[in-house]
Amino acid sequence: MNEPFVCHQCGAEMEADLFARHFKVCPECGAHYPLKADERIDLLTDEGSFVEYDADLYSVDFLEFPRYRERLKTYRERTGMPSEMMSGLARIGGNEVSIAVTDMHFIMGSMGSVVGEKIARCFERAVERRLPVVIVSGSGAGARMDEGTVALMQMAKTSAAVQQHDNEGLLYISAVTNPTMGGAAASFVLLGHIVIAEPGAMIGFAGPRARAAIGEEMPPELQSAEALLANGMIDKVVPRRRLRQSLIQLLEYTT
Amino acid sequence: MKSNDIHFEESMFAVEERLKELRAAIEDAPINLQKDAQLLEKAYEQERNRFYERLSPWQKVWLARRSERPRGSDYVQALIEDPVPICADRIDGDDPALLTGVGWFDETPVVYFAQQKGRNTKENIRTSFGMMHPQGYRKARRLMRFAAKFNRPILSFVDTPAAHPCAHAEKRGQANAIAENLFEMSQLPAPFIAVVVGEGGSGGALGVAMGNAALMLEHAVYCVAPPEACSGILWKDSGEHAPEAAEGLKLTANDLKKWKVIDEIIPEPPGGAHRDPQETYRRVQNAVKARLQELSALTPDQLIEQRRRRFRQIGVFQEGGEPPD
Repeated sequence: MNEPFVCHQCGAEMEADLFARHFKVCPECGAHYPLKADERIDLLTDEGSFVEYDADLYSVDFLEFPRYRERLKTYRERTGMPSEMMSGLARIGGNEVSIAVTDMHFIMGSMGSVVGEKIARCFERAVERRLPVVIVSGSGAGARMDEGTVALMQMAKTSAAVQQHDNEGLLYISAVTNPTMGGAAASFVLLGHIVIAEPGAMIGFAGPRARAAIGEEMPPELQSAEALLANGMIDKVVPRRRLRQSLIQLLEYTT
Repeated sequence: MKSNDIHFEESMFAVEERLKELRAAIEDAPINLQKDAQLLEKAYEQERNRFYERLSPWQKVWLARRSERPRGSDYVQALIEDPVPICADRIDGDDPALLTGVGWFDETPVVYFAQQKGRNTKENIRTSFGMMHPQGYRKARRLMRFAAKFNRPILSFVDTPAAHPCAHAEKRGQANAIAENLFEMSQLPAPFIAVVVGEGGSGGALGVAMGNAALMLEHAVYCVAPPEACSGILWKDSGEHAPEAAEGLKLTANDLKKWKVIDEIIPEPPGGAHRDPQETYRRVQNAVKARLQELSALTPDQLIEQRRRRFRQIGVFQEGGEPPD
């Protein structure tokens, strides 16, 4: 029997199964909890339509960065996933798409060489097959520190992939989940033709540590999906249970 | 001397001071000591050069941050003839942390970007210590479009600790502004050369530096996160492990060349760029000139393709097989 789920936000307690049936959204207060990549794909894509690509890309500790090797191993074991991103082809309401999903349970879904490569290939596959791209991101830590400046360069690599796809007149929908910060937000994530976010998702450039460096207090609401919507930085805030329907609507409208 | 001592140059300055005094003293000495002084000076110079060749990454961070180093405005003044500042983002206002405009570089009309740090508190307040706001990135984007329209090469001098992390910058879309620049630079049909002259601070630097070629001064650094922040994340401290973090981040020009993040290292005069700024400008000018010549042979489509390929190949991962240990 699974442990009961207790919501951090409202304190509601419920059976784990009930929480799972609500796609990890608290039925009491609506707080959205992170989904695993495969759960997200199940939620969004037509049953049995997802074909995974590039599942055998692994991060390597090429800089011999303190503790990276162990961390990679720990996270692979803990999550049972080879990396922080699943990508491939799928159908959403019958519309064929090239899709990629980050899993923030794996080193915060941060962007290193593997995410950069998977995103680039996701757009390239879409160009080859003339498909729209759907990316669901949750990259809490932005660019992956452990891969140094090479991780930073993935911002350029992924943005160039978006541009190449855009140049072919194809659609890119970016769905942003909690949390998406730094280098991921400041590259492919916010470059969607349409950017949708889940309620309460934290999205922004500077994390709490960067702000601490200049000694500034920033109200956390300022980086909420709702604030970004109000400030004109994203297009829509859509609750998880309606996300699939929203995607179908937009895909049908534009393809 | 410990490799994490940020005052690592002081003992050398002390020797230089003594040598100067010695020079003055022997001018009036009754016996000729010129030869001996020369020998001493020569020995010192050798020792000094060897020292600067072996700086630790953390020492390079501090050297790259020295306020005496040439500033963005110095490079513009030294290398751009008849510069005309163009400085509106048409939305928010000017950003003194980035100088932008048009001018002539070696008889070629160019667009220039130069990130501007201050030399003192007053200047640093004005330029936010070289940390750009969204209006700076948007101003640069206007200039990118200008460069594209008139097919003018862009020269970008990079020197920033980071993009500004303040609330106002977030509110005005710092992440959007940088992302849009990366998109714009991906489709830029004009040659683009980035020169990291001081600190290349993560997305804050890359947002104006996605070049066909990236050059880097010998003692400059370019990193994904400041070593102090990295130390805080890894060791949960307030920066005490920054020297180790700097080591791990592989932020020096030598390391970055190996990973193809940069294409060329421009050697600095002995002791660093600020010891002989004129010589530094000359070396930067020559390196940029050579790159510009190379790139001007490419068509607009080839320039876009070359830039895309340059970034497409950056990344290290394993494909296939068992997960690495």
